[in-house]
Amino acid sequence: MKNASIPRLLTQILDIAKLMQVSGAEIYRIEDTVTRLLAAYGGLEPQVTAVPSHIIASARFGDEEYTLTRRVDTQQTDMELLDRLNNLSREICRDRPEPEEISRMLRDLTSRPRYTRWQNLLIYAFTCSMFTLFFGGSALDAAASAVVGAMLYAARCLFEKTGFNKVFMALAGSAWASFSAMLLVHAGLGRDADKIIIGAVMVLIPGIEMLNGFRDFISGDIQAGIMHLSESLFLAVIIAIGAAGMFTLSGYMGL
Amino acid sequence: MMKEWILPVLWACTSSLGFGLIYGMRTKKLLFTGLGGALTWLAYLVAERHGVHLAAACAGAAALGTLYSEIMARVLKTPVTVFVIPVNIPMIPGGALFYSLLGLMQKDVSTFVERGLYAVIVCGSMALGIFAATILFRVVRDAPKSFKRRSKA
Repeated sequence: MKNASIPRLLTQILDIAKLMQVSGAEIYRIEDTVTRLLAAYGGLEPQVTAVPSHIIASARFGDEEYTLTRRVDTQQTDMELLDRLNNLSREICRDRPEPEEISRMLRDLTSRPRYTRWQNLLIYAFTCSMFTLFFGGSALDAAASAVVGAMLYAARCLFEKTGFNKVFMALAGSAWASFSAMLLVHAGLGRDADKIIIGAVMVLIPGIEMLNGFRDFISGDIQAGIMHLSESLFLAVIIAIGAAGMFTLSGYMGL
Repeated sequence: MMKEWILPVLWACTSSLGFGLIYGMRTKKLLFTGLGGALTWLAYLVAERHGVHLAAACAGAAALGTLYSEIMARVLKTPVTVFVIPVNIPMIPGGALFYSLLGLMQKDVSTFVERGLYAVIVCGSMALGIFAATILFRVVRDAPKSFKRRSKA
């Protein structure tokens, strides 16, 4: 590999790592993937450190040392993309394509179809109603929960455009779900507002942070584990506060 | 029978499947996600109805779900994370957490403490179950390799 193309190669590798992190990979997987990719291109002593908020990778090529970092500030869980990225990095290790080729493969991968907005709306409605049934709601409650789920997704799309952070999204999302559930029950759709709210709010639960936190601890990435777990705990409490607070408040408003 | 066993397991299955959909999964992996959710919740129900302690039931069910995910991830050649999260979702005590904080806001301290402790116990034992199953799986997976290496040396 010519020295001139190494910075571009590192850029591509870290782009893959960042995408993996964003779509929900554990720390162990990211560090392992980047190490393997760097080694495959002849990087000596590849060093990779990843925590939930950033990735640092460095390696020696010839007698020059290169380091690159990425800040990870979003979470857009997409298991299908993670699966594809995993396969892609295996392919790259095996075939060692040029940086331009990697960039093309990556573009190709991210442009493959995902669920559209409308499909996602239906998915949220479906999942919320199923959780309401799971928590013991009636069929009517489930119907109300489907409506709440759809409204929750619509609100989420709106919030995403405005670029609010995770904590605000969790608080506003759960409060909004709670409020719309109370409205629906007041209007006569559904009976147990609490079951509708729990079902709808379950889709906001930070499952990925929590379970990745556990897995980070098992892999020995204590720092990442603590960050993941404390984040998930904080978000879970924020969600419960939003839902229960709005439930109480709506009660005072006479809903 | 219907109300006690089949319906809860069915709803656990569809909830897991829905979570898989939210996480952008496609193809036949979704089917195995739903099955895993049903399996986890069935294990929990069986344990609970036979008078097993809450913590033990949660840990056991989470361990079973995690083992299932690890095995399925191997079989379908996909990262374990893909399965382990949706499969364990039915165990997460979202209801308890909600009622706990609702109790806090309505000055009902006993509900707050009781439901809150319940949520903590369930979460803690889930973590324990997942830990145990993951470590067990890694040991079994790596045992032949390390054994071979040792016998060579």
